[in-house]
Amino acid sequence: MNLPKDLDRYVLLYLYDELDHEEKEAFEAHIANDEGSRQKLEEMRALHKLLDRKLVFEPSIQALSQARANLRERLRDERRKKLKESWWQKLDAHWAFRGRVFQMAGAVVLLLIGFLIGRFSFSDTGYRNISSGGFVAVALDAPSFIASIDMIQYEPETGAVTVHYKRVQDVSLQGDIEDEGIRRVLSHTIRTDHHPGRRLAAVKASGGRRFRDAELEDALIFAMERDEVDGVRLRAAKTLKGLPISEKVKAAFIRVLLSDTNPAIRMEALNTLSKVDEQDVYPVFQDASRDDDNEFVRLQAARALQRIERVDAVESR
Amino acid sequence: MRMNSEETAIIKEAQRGNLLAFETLVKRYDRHVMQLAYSMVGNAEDAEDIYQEVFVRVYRSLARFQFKSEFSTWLYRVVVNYCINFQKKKQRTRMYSIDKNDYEDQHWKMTLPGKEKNPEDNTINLELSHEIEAAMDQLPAKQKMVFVLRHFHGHKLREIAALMGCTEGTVKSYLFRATQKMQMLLKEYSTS
Repeated sequence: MNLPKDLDRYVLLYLYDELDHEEKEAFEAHIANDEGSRQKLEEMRALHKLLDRKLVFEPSIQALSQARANLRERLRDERRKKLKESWWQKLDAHWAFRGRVFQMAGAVVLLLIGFLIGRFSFSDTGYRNISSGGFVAVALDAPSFIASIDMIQYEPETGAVTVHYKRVQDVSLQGDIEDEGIRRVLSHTIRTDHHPGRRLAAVKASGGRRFRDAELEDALIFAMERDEVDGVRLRAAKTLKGLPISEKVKAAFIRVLLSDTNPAIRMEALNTLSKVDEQDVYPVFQDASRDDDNEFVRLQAARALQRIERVDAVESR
Repeated sequence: MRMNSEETAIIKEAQRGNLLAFETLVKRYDRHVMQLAYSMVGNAEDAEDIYQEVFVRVYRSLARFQFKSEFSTWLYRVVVNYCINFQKKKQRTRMYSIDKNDYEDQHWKMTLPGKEKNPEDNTINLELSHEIEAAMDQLPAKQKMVFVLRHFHGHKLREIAALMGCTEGTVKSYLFRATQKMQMLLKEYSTS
């Protein structure tokens, strides 16, 4: 900046203490010898003095508390909405963020997977020349059934019948929760089956023994936090309660206690958390005892807090 | 505010969906957010709306925060952008919603920091505050934001540049033009 030319800017930056050391010295030397510049500085000082008389408005404790309470409600709504988003919406949002390149790559991968599934699933489906007796034998002997008939062709002259159909492999697994195959099927059902009854049955079956498996644990956490049916979420919470409580499970129960819409599920989370290390859960209980919508949950959280405080008092003696 | 390891841990927990952790972050910064919003829009109702919108936006996009800047800078950037857009919209639609009764809102306190004042002084300062608010409302949104951040919130020009995503030179220009206009609009008060 050129000092005489940019005098107004210098005056402003001088008063805001935004000049570096050299500029400041040059400016002070300049105004010492220039009446007009001193006048400008005084005018600007007068404006600053006036602005300093402007009252500062501060939110009171009540205003902030009210705003925080309103925000908490909105965040809970946000969370509920998020939990209700379909997997496709989540995938869509994720891809929208990652950009077109990832979308294209994802599309290619999906096509490839579709192609491979098609190839392996229907590789033995096709036109076959079989006799009428043979058809019955295949249907009864093989562990499969007809999924759909695509085409039946009959040639009266020769009496030949051509059938094009798809078949589905019928699989029956028997074992217990220690079998990896069983656990994988249960995890898959919990996460993806559209029928709530089957999801509930899978959740129940997952708690047969106190067996720890990361994939199944994740599926149960998923069900407890995200299943749209309250009964499935509650059952998942009960099942997880019966399993060894890992850090991940504890964190999930904390989230459920603070944000699930159903008080029975929040109670289940509260009961479970009452049994773990009190240091971690103390502030969560404080929050629940103060803010939970349900009176019973608030009461139980307050009791849990009292229990923790009694234990602390005994230990400190 | 410097981001320490404790704050980093809280942010990471909030990113995993822990509402309690997010509320801890809110409590650290919300007073300043509310004050900044009030300075920009001049009434309690709009300030509280901005408060809500800003924190909901931050909650939605927290997963994308990658610790490349201070959390406070990232948060205030959201506040500044939202306030500028809010102010632009308000000016476009000529919705000058400054209701002077808001100043008497029981939930907001009027203070003149560092000085003992008697009730008469406060009445005069309240009148002056109205005039200053009215003058500031005539500034374009970005000029007003720079002026508010520098004069009333004490942010340095380079910090303001980082918050607004522009150069320090641009910020200086905004501040200069805003001050000139304020000087012109408040001439009769500053000379008396």
